[in-house]
Amino acid sequence: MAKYITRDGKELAIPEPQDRGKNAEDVSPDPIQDARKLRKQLIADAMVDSELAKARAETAEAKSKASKAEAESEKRENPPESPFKFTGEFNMGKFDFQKQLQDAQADQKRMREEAEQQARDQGRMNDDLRDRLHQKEMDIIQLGLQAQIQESNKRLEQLMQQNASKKSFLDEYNEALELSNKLGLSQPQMAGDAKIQVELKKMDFDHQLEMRRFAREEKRSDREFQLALRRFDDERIESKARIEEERKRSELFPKALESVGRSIAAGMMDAEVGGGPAPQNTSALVSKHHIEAHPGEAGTFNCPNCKTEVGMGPKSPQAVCANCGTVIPIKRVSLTSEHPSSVHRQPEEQGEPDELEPVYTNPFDIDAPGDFGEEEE
Amino acid sequence: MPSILDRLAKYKGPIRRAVLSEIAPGVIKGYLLEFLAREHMTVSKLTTYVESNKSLWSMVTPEYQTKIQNLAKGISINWLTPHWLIDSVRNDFPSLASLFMSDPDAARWLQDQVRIIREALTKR
Repeated sequence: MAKYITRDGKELAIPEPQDRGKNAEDVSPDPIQDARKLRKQLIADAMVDSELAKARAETAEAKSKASKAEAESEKRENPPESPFKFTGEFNMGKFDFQKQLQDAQADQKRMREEAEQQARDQGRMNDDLRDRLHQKEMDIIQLGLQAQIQESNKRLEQLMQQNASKKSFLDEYNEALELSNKLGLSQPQMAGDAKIQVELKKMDFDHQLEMRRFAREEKRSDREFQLALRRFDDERIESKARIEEERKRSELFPKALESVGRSIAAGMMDAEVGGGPAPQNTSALVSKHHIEAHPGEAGTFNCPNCKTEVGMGPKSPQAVCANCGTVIPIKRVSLTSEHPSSVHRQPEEQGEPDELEPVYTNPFDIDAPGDFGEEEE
Repeated sequence: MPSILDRLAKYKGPIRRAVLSEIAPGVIKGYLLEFLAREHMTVSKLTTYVESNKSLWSMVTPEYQTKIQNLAKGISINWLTPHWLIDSVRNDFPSLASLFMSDPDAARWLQDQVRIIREALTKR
């Protein structure tokens, strides 16, 4: 059987449930009484439970107080060490200057890019602002011009309205004529003639103006036509000259190449042979005329065949014309004439045509170039 | 401004030789004709040259002698003969050409002048 200890320290016996039932069945069969007993029992149980909880709480509190007291006692027995005593170590870590430099460069690059980006943004903003300013200025100018145009139109309309009331000279003249007719100051016939004459003068004047304008236009068109003709002519001459020049150039280039090639071949062949072409005998004609001259006299005379000037040396036995190759014999005689160098026809040949005899002559010995002893490289 | 002789002397190689061989006779012919015209050369004057055996090459200034020598380096001068000289002056100075063709002393003098000029041009 359970016991219950009250606060006063009294012990109360708590009957078992089966014992209570058994006792109830055994003791009294009255249910109301049983219910009262059960209620009382339940109340008693609740009181017991509450008392138990209180007891447990007090027990826990006592335990905590006991532990605190124990800790305090231990604290008093073993006081804590000084709070100013520090122990341990400090790790400085690794310093990678290259990485730090790279980081710094990366930061610098990033900052530069950011600055450039900002500058670009600023530039774009400036452009935008400038465009806006320009647009605004244009709007202002446009508005000002529109206002001026409107003002001018208004003034023009006002002037036209003012002038609309004025009449032309002819109208005023006609009105004056009518008024004078009405007043009897002029004859109607004369007024009509004057009007017609004025109209005729006006038409004549307009006609003259038109004629002048027409003449001016005609002159201008004629001048333009002449200019165009001249321009076309210049272009034609220019294009013709250009074509001619191109043709000459196109002809000159192959000729130059051809002459260069010919020269190369001639040089090679000359080098192989070892000299230039040998002199050939010149075909000459011996004139039947002769020259009479002083001994040792030199001078010139005309060729009897071709009239080309021929030179004569002081000891030349004959003269040879460089143009036609005619050989003119020279006779050295003592003459008294002041002009010894003259062509004298032989007496028996006078009146007959000049007959020439062909001969082959080489008047002086001239060796080939190879005979000089130098060979070209 | 460099003269035509200086310009021609700048070219090198076989093309230079070919080009100069082609144009050199014309250049020398022009030089000779201009020389005779400026000297007012006549038969009498040339006769005095022949008699005194005057050298034509020595009448060219040393500067032009050097230029002509540089121009003629490495090219063929086989064309430089008395016949070529006579043929060159035949049209402009026919009396001089006929003198060379008829007078033995003048022909010999011309042959000597050609030899002297060739020696000067081929001298290394």
